Amino acid sequence: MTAPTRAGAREILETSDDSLLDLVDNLLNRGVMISGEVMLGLAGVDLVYLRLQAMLCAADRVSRREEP
Amino acid sequence: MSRGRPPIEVRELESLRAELERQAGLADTPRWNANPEDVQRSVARLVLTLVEFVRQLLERQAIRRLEGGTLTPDETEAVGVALMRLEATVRDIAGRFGLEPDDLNLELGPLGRLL
Amino acid sequence: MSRVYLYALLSAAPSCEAGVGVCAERLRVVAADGLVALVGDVAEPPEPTAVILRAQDAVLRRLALAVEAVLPVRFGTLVDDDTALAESLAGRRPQLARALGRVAGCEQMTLRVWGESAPAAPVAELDGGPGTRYLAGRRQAQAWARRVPELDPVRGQLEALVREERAERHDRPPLLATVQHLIRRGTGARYIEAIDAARAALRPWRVSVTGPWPAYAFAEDAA
Repeated sequence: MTAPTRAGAREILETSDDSLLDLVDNLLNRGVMISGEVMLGLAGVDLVYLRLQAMLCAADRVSRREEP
Repeated sequence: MSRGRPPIEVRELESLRAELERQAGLADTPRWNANPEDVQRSVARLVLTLVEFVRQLLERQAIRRLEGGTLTPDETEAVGVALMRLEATVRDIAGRFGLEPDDLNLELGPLGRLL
Repeated sequence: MSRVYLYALLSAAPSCEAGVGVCAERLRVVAADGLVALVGDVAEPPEPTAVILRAQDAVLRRLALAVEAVLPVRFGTLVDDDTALAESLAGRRPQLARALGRVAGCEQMTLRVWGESAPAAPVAELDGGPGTRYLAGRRQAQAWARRVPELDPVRGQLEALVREERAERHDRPPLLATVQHLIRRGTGARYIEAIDAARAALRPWRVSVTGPWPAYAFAEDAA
């Protein structure tokens, strides 16, 4: 299984259109979060692909359970 | 799509772009790779990022409890001191490895950055 | 091998054809853990180019014409299959159902606040021992991160239109803050009129508005 890539994604920020920047912000920074991933490696060699459910990032949004 | 007139200035656009670069994980497949030249620093960065993440989690929950009135004055003081020391510890250790607060982060693809 | 690309959660299956997605794939609806998800089967993960991002936004807008509540999912969200989707959503049904209720019949306006310097954060007198003062200070800082007093001159006029707000301070001049406002569908023009009418009163701060958008920023409960 290969992890999704984001090759050349930075190009999209090269715009004078603030509405396009808001589109980027909305789609990439917001919305329901399901999973994230990171590749762990050593000496430039990818070794471990780690996939995380939303638990880790959206901490304050997920841990809604109040202490008794 | 409607727009609010007047159009935004070039400086403002630059500023927005910079903020998005900070936030929107637009790197290639997010990677953590121990730099063989400085494995210690790479490991320190990863460890401190995770500790800082946990610290922020704890702080948010403590504030929630404080606002909900479910901490006694003694508990408030004890938790506050512990968080204060934890923040100072992370900062000190990071400093020893030449790491700035902004360095403590981890890209997680669609989830953006950890912190 | 294809994977499942997730677009949005819906209040119900759309009454009409869902159409095609960003990879020209046929969109389909999946029921998972009591929730309805709009997905597409893709061979490659979509790249965040302007064309594809606009296409994804267009899918969400199109669905909003056929479904009461559309809760956008973050771009690039892929799961292995429908079972993995159900697993990912497991246990989040209450929050997600709440979010769907929140965005039903609504859309979002995005406000950016610009200025050379941010208003000073209020520093209240804090009592107690060092730990107590530290925690109270952190609480103030957290509250301040969500406050945008620059907009006070226009809040009265916006009150009737704004259902909910999500605010975030950046305090990196000239970008001071971003505010997302949830409004009823169709009231975007009135919202912009209210902002335009208040521009003089908002000085020295400037404000730019984009939208209406699908309710991207309202997927989570308020911080």
